[in-house]
Amino acid sequence: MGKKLTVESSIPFNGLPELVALNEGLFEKEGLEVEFISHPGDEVLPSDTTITNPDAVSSLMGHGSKSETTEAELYNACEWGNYRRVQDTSVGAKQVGRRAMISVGAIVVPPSSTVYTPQQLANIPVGVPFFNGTHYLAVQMLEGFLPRELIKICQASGLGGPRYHSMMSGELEATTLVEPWISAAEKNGCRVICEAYYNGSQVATDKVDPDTYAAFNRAIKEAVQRINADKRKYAQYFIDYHRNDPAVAELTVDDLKLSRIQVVEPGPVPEDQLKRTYDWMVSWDMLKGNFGSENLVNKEMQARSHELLQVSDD
Amino acid sequence: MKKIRVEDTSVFSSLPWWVARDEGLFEEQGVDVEFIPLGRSKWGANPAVTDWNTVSSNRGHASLQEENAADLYWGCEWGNYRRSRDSDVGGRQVGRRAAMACGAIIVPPWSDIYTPQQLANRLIGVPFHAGTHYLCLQMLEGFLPREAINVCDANGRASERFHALMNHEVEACTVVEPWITYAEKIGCRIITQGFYNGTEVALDSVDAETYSAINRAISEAVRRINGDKRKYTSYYINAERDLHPELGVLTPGDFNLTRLVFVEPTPIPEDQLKRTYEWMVSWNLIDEGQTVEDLVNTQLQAASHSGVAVSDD
Repeated sequence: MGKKLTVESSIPFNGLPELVALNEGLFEKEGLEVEFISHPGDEVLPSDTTITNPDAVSSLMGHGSKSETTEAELYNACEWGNYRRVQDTSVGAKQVGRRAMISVGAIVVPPSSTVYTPQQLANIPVGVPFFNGTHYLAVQMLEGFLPRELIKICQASGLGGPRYHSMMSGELEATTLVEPWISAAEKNGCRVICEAYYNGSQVATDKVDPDTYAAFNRAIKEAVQRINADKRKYAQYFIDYHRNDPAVAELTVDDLKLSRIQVVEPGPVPEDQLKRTYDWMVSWDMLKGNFGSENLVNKEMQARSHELLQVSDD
Repeated sequence: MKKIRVEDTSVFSSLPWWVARDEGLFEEQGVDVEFIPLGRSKWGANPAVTDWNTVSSNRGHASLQEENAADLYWGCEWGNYRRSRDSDVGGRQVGRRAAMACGAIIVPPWSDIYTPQQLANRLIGVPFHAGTHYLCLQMLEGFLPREAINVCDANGRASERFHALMNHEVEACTVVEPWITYAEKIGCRIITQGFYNGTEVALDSVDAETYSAINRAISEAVRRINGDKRKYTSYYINAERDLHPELGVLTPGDFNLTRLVFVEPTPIPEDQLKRTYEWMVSWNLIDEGQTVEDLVNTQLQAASHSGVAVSDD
């Protein structure tokens, strides 16, 4: 076995290709020994409607936590959160490209709710995982429907399961969910108010070289092809990984909408999209305005590793 | 028996009306409802038309009412604000309709677009002045600066917008059911989806007693639909099947029932009305200076909805 790479672990909604690549020996095929390290940080946060300022917690409490302690060299998370983590890092980790998983997130209300449309979420706290994908997604989904001052978010767990159960127990009037909890919620009579897809990216420390990252992405690329060829088979991951949650255990693959499983080959973060997202985050005070979008990505590493990935296609 | 003429549109916004008609619920309430079909056209999208103010707000919904051929119609709330403002015959909103419509922005299977941000400067076909025109703007406004949201006029029927998408006339378009389900089934991708309210617009000739009776029938239809949504998916499959045989591939099992949402008719909450109006003004979708009374027949709304409540007890 060649190069070793330590990576913060993913779960199906944000890292299905990584899990498939691991389980089907695709990293080994590329001469890589990939070790996944769990990061329990953000999952323990309770729902709390009185905590409405994300800056009350660290952007690196979950994703990025093992990178900060130098136990992991690479991690994958939503693009917005990674912009913030790159700003906040003390180990110089930067984004190196977009991940393969296009995640779906939704704002969901319980069956008893009187909310049916995004407009009706005015002044209603939506439980979100601060600095994670659906925190930002919730704000972006609601911003067209409501003036900013009427969009209310509050702290909730970094994991979809605890957020779902928190909503069902009445602690939250609305929350954001990802799969398989969107499907579990729908099965149990909850309503999706709005739903959208979002990009994630990968963040690496300078210990990761372009050859290694290209090899990692070649394995991911093969996993993407396998998933797209038989989504139904791989949908089972969403159930098996969270089977200890009773709401998920009662799901079958038939309950999952295969169109919600979207994976693409990894690619660079497009400059125009990066700049727009940066500007939007600054406008919400989610990033410091003087940080500069040019500092969010390790451009040299991104360019070289994706160049190597393309070369290998020839 | 009181007679009322209504504009007949598509299943996604009309299901409770159709169920009330087909199951004799209007008759039970002593109302004779005549459904007058709105016209259909075959055009898909017009990429050159990007200014909604060059298009009449009542070319589809309200077209029969403006000719005094219909007493009442339903459409999306945003569009009905505009149509109430533009009406030459005094049509104004009288309450929210029962159907909570689900709208989605979709892309064809070959598209390189996966997220709302990637729709920047890409042409999206929307039906100007109909629900998913406004929904599209609202769904994208958080993801993109306004100047990067690029919409063009497209047919008021989701079927024609869908075909325009598949014919490469636009890069994305908005659809409603059953076209969301059909699009998913053939490999199109949803980029984002949301629900929206609609309202009903009536002439002054519609009295509170009649509108209350109608809403009692609609409320019963809502209860029946919510009691067995799977059964009523047949309406979505069959409503346009003679025009679009491809819908025949759909089965009730294909539908995500959580997209079929119906509530009993209610008045329009004033705070939501005010916010929606201000948002529309900010986009030049309606002009400034309209009052609540210009847009809503508050007297009829109040009188007719109190009638619904009393009769429900």
